[in-house]
Amino acid sequence: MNAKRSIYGICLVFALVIMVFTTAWAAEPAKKATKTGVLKIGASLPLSGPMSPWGIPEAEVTSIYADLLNKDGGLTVGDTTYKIEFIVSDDKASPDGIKASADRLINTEKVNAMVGGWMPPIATIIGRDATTANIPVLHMVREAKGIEVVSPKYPVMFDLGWAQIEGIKVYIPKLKAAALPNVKTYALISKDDTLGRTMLEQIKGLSQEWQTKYGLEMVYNDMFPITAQDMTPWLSKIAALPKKADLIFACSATVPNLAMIAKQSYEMGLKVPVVTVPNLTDVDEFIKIAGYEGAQYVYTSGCAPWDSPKTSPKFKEMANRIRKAWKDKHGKDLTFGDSFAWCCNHLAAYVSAVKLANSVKTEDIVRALESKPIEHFYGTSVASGDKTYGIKRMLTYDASIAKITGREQKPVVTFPTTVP
Amino acid sequence: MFDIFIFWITLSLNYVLLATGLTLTVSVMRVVNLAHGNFYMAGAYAFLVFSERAGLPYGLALLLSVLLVGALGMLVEAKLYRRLGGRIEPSIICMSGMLLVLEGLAVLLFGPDIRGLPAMLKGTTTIGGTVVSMERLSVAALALVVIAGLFCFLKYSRLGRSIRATAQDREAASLMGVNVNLISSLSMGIGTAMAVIAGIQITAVYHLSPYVGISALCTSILIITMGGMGSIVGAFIAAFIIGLSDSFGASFIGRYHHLLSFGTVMIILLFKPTGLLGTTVEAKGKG
Repeated sequence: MNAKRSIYGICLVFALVIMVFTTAWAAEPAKKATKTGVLKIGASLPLSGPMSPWGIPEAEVTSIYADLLNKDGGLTVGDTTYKIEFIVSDDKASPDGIKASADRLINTEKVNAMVGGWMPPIATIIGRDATTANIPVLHMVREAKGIEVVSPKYPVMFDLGWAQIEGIKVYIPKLKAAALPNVKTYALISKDDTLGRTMLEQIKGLSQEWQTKYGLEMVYNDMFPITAQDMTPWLSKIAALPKKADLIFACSATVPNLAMIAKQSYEMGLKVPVVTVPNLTDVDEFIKIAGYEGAQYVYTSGCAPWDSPKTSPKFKEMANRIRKAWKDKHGKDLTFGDSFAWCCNHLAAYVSAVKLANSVKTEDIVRALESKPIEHFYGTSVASGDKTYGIKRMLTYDASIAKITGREQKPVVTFPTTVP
Repeated sequence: MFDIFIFWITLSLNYVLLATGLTLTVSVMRVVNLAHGNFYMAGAYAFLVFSERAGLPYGLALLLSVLLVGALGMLVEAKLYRRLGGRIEPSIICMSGMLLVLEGLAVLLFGPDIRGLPAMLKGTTTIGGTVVSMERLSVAALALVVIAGLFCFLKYSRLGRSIRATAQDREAASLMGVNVNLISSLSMGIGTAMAVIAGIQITAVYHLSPYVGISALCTSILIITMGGMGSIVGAFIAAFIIGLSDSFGASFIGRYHHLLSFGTVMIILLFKPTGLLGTTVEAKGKG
């Protein structure tokens, strides 16, 4: 009996010892990084000239994000801990400036990767130069005519953003279903630029389908020149239409265009929802230009990560830290705007891809971006393989439409934009 | 149609303000002040500081902005442009430099973002069944008062007569005892002040950014070229023609309305190279 007990005792002690060792082995921290390095991430943005109101906050928010990543210990890949150095180059939003900026980032700064905003010419130029230098690029390409030359030839380039060309197909119907059920007619006014013409043509092509499927009738469409400040000529025509427009959709409208449409349509007594795609960088300032009453009719794309249902708690926390750092510096809240969705989000996706690839080599990162779910500030994206104007590798997130209510912009609807 | 009419009148009266300011400086200085559009922008920012940051009432903020930037215009004329002796090439380089300095300063001090300016009057009213913005009506009314004031000043005051005399013949005016240097500075100051008033009015209707000066300059040059360099009445007529193109033209031919403005200017210059009411203005070049 005693011998039996002793054997059980020995087995128990042995099992305990094995357990302790196994646990200790399992709990042993991953091989500690012994080396340090720097990952240079470049961005070509307009820091001067008329486009700088978009470029400057975008650069600043991304820079805050890079600083916070470094503060959290940087990015560990294998046995190396990398600090992220975010380098912004002013492209002045001009083709020559973009070319010079890409040259500087690729050849002088020798960046490891590039992230960026949304302008098609930037994507085109950077895509070409980055492919030659074999540097991964995460950009929001924004579909527009002529952009088909970009992607198939540039395998290192990824378009991350909401798929506008697909999103537009359901943009107004989704808004109608979610918030504006009484809308039956709409007027289209478009800026006479590449994006505006593309969108106008696209919506005109969809008008028959929208009428049959969603009961939406197009009652007016026209373009305004890119230099137009005053929208009176177009709005007065809309006001004089025999069939009243229940909604105005402004294609490719800039923030000043949108402000003028909102302000003047309100003053003319039109008082209809004014919908557009671009986001606002500063809701307070927008209200000052558009007027409080006019602004209340405005719907634009925009959903901050802290409002997005698909943002993970980890990214929500980071977004709130960025928001706080911004508020500490500027004394006012960071609105969603261009500053969050593009450059900063592209950096987040790049960091996720590096972690998944456990490598900083372009080939490994490209493979991760092509095949794995990539987490970023607006959820998780998988390269869909969708083809839009020839861009095959597209990582998308849901489109959001937000409304100005009081002095805030709050999302009213989000919807997927990748065609199943 | 009535709202387009109101739009035309408002726009044209502000074009008159803007272009009259420029034509006044051209007639006396004999060189187009390329920084004119950026004085327009600077005035609007000065107004933003006085009205929003200092919290001054609208009228006082307007007056202080006009005085401040008007004085800056006089200073620039006295200490910078005058020293170039009316020579065209250095003047153009100097004025372009001033344009960039003012734009750069605005970016540095206020950032590149677009901003809204407070309006003199808010809300809407109904005239003949058409809803009209009070903001636009007040802009038109103020412009009308300022233009009438300037007209009376130039026509009936001693200083105004001196300005006209200097514009017609600088040397003869000098021989007649007119202090042409003072008149030059004063013309520049008045011209700049007009630009400031137009800037505050127009940017309140639209928006303000450091880059609004360029389009204001282009519009003013188009108007004074059409009206005839140095002719205030010509600028007045041309402003209404350009305003017509930008309002009714835009309504009827949409995005191509600029073709109408530029086409009209070209046709006028083809038949009358000095503009509608212009006479030949020769630069008093020394180099």
